[in-house]
Amino acid sequence: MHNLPRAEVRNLLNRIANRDDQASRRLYSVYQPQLFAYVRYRVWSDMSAEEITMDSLFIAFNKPAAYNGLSEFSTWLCGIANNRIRQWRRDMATELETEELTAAIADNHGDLDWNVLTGIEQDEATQAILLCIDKLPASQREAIYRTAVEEEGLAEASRDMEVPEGTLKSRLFHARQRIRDCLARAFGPDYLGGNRG
Amino acid sequence: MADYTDDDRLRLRELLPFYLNRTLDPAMHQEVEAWLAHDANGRQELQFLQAVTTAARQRVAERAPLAGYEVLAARLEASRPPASAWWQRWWQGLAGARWASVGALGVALIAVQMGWNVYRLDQQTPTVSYRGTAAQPVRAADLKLVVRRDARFADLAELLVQNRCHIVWGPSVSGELWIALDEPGSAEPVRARLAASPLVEDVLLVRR
Repeated sequence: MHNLPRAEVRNLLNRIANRDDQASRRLYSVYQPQLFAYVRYRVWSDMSAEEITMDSLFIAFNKPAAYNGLSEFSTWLCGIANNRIRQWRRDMATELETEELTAAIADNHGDLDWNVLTGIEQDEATQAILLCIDKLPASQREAIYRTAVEEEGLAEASRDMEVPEGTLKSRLFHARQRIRDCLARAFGPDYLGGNRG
Repeated sequence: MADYTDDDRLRLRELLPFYLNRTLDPAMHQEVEAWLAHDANGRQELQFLQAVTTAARQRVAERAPLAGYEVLAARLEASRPPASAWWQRWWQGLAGARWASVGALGVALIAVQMGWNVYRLDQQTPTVSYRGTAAQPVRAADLKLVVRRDARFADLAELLVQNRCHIVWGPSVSGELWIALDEPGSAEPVRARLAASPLVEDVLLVRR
């Protein structure tokens, strides 16, 4: 994530403690989109992501003295968001995700037809891909977020996700296959193999 | 043309996300590039991955920086106590200051006060102020003068000035004045001159 210098963040938080609206706007505009993206790749609905992002920022802005400046502000914010996400998952309790299950479903290393998006309008394809991403297990969504959005390297992403590099590569590979299968289902079997009449 | 085993291809396919975000080291980057040049299916998979990456980034790019800010601002406002009066803010500011700065302020005030005291001491005056009037130090009398009952005060004042005499006490009910001289050593000649005056009944030297 893009971070402001810590001294500037502390200064803005001090001003927020004194009800400075300009400071609130500044800090919010820098961190809100990034935090929303971080949260959105961990929960599968816009509304829930919206709610968790807002709650996390509210906690941060309401107790600005709690940030001690020892870590980046984004790390601190994500820590708050992670607590809320865990709570949300406990409340939802719907997602089954184990590496074994993931591997069993999508353990196909053979040649696949990746030509599933040909002939589909870009906007339509993008919306379909996002829907398919939302159907992935949280660990695979986070892997996509780390590499595609945050553009983290293999070592950095596996460190941040606290998994071995091989596991991360495997998650990304399986995620790709699942998205492809999801799109094939969404657009029908005729769209596979370039047969789009 | 290089031959790739299934294991090679699997290893290279797993590196595609990092090839795409340009975080592979140059040697691996080159290796993936060489494989892509050779494998049409690999290129299709890369193209598909590009579409996924573009979609994933779009979710972030489309987010307005201040989306939802008004909701947060309203929640913050509702959670805060009402704004305090200026004197409360002043007191909170003072209470929030570190003790070191409060101590430094105290030391500075004491220093200013001491400087003022020293300045005032340097300007010490010979007079002693007492309820707005300047009290002259009382000198000891050299002579006691008994004035005739019919003596006019104006004449008496002229006589005292001529002989450089000052009244330091009196007159008493019996018409006595206690006189100090500018030159106490000349008490006897002055006593003689005063005694010779028709205004004076008697003059006595005051023994010290």
